[in-house]
Amino acid sequence: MNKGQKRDWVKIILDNFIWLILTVLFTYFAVNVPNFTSKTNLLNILLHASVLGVLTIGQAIVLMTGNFDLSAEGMVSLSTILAMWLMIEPGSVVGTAQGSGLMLNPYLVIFIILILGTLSGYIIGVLITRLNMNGFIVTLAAQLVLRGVAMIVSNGQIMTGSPKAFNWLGGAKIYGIPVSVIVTLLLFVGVNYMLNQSKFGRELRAVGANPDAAQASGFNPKRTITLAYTIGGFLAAFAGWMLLGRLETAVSSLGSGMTLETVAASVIGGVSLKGGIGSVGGAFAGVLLLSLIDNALNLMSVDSFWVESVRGFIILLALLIEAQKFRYKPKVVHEKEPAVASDCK
Amino acid sequence: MKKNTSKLLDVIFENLIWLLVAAGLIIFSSLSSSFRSPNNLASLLYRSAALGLLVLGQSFTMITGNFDLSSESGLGLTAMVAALALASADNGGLGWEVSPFVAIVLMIGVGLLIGLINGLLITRLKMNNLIVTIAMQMILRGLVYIISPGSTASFFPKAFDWLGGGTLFKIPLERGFFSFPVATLFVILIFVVSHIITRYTQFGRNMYAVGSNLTAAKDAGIDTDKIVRIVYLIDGLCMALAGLLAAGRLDSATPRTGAGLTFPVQAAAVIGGISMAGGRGNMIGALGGLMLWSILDNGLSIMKVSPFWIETSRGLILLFAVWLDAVKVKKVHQRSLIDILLQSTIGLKDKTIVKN
Repeated sequence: MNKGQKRDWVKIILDNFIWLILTVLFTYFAVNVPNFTSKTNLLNILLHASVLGVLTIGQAIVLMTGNFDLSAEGMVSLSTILAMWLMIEPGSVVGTAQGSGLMLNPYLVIFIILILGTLSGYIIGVLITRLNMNGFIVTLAAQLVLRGVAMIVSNGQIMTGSPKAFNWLGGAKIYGIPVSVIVTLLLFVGVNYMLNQSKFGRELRAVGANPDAAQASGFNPKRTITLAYTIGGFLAAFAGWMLLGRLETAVSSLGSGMTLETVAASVIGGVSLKGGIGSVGGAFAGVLLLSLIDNALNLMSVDSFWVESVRGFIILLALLIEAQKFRYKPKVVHEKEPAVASDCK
Repeated sequence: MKKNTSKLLDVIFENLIWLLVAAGLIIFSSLSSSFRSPNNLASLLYRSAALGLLVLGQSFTMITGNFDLSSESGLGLTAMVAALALASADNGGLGWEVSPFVAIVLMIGVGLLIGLINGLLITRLKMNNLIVTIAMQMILRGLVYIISPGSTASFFPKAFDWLGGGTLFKIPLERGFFSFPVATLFVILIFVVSHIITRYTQFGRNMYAVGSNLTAAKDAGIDTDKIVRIVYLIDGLCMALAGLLAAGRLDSATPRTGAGLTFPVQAAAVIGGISMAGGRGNMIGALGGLMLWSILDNGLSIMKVSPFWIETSRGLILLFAVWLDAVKVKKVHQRSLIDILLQSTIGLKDKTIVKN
């Protein structure tokens, strides 16, 4: 083994810090919190992680290009409301569920909302890349608009009673394991593999690390960023489908506050806010960590005032670690350093 | 001739915000008689006062290319701290019943501390400003809940309420009076002072330099980290003063005071022409953005537009503002490019380029 291949242990530990924290926390909770390791509770954690996880995949992909997507939770709200509106009967009693009366086939509705999500993601991408609008504010405004439309469609009411075929993804179980958990895990593995192997994955990281350099080396940053937002929109609608299947109830405030959680999960999992660095696999660890902590705080019946503060501290801590990663310069310069510049932007 | 029209367009473009403010005022006053009632106009001014100070703080940070999303919780925390110190034990306070002056000093101390922490985390530890301030927003809001009695703390001394809720002079009208709020005068004064600071001092110029090009500013010998830290301190001060106005107007503080203001603050600054990319925009523009936002908000709700539509329209207005910002950036780029080409010796003196 020559010197160039000598492993930099500090870097390895920093890169996989999240799994270490996850293990330590899990052990701590398992010992100290009663009922934490029961089968139902573990499945609960995974269930909570599934919708958040799907959204986080989209967020992580957009973050890797150096952009933000704050619109996903608006899309979750609109897709669930719209799906309900298309599927249920028109309400006869004022103040209850008001469907459109179209009573469309659930499979058709699924198709419609997925197309809608993809389309809205694409439009956001075009606004940002072609019209040079600031991504942060565009997606913030898009979140408002999407949720606003959901409020208008639902008239602020709760809608219940989605058909069984629609609920399969979110509510059904195979051998006792929820379908949504299996699908989320498959998605994570699939997307992680795809991003690590495909040209698109390399393109994402290259664009995030340095758009100008990426353009100079023959990539098309505008196309890549638009595609990232499109994928994000599709996944948001998918998450909406999953969430509605689990709850069988739609209300326009669904998903509010999730944006922050997805960003936090991605950052905790090592996705850099500056773009170009991170993996979807790491983001999954971040999702697990957030769900784990939420669940444990709940089981310990911690005062809800504290939960908010604790969450803030966790995000701050994750950021601190992320920031230190940037400052740490490995002493041994690898000969085959991956083509990701960490100090751009 | 052509040049003149383009100059006129420029002037209109630069002052678009004031045209929109005037248009908004005229349209809403002609559509709704309750909008133009003196009571409503006074309440509009009261409401926008605290918001205005947050917009000011946000504008300071945004000019240097940073964000502050923690100010709404900063407002809540400072208001709650003052309320606890001022109110008697029966009214939800700690029973200290300190003098108003001490309470105000306490508030400003807390505000500056928040600003200091934000600034240090961002400059010393190199953490992402956006997420740091989001996390701070959560932490501070949690703190407000933790220190609060869980309900309202109210009934402060008159002197404390004067700035936020007092009236300065009464203008007699046909029916009743239009009483001009002290808070509005205070906010306008602070906006003007800030405008002078940002425009005509060394520090202000350094702020713009840091925001428009960080590396160049560093190369020019500006201590960029120090500028950012000072900016966050100013921002903390603005939070505390906003907390003072909010607590004074309501004569009480609840754990939810200020919650949900981040979005209006951000939107008002962007609409007022403060660029998201940093380095552009001025305080008077931000004041215009604040006024437009408040007028739209007040006008739409007084005309009994459904809140769901208001929410949607807010998003659309913001999209429009960002689009305007993008167009401006593009124009500046084009113009500087043309200037460079015209001044260069390559010989591109074609009039065709000037058309753009």
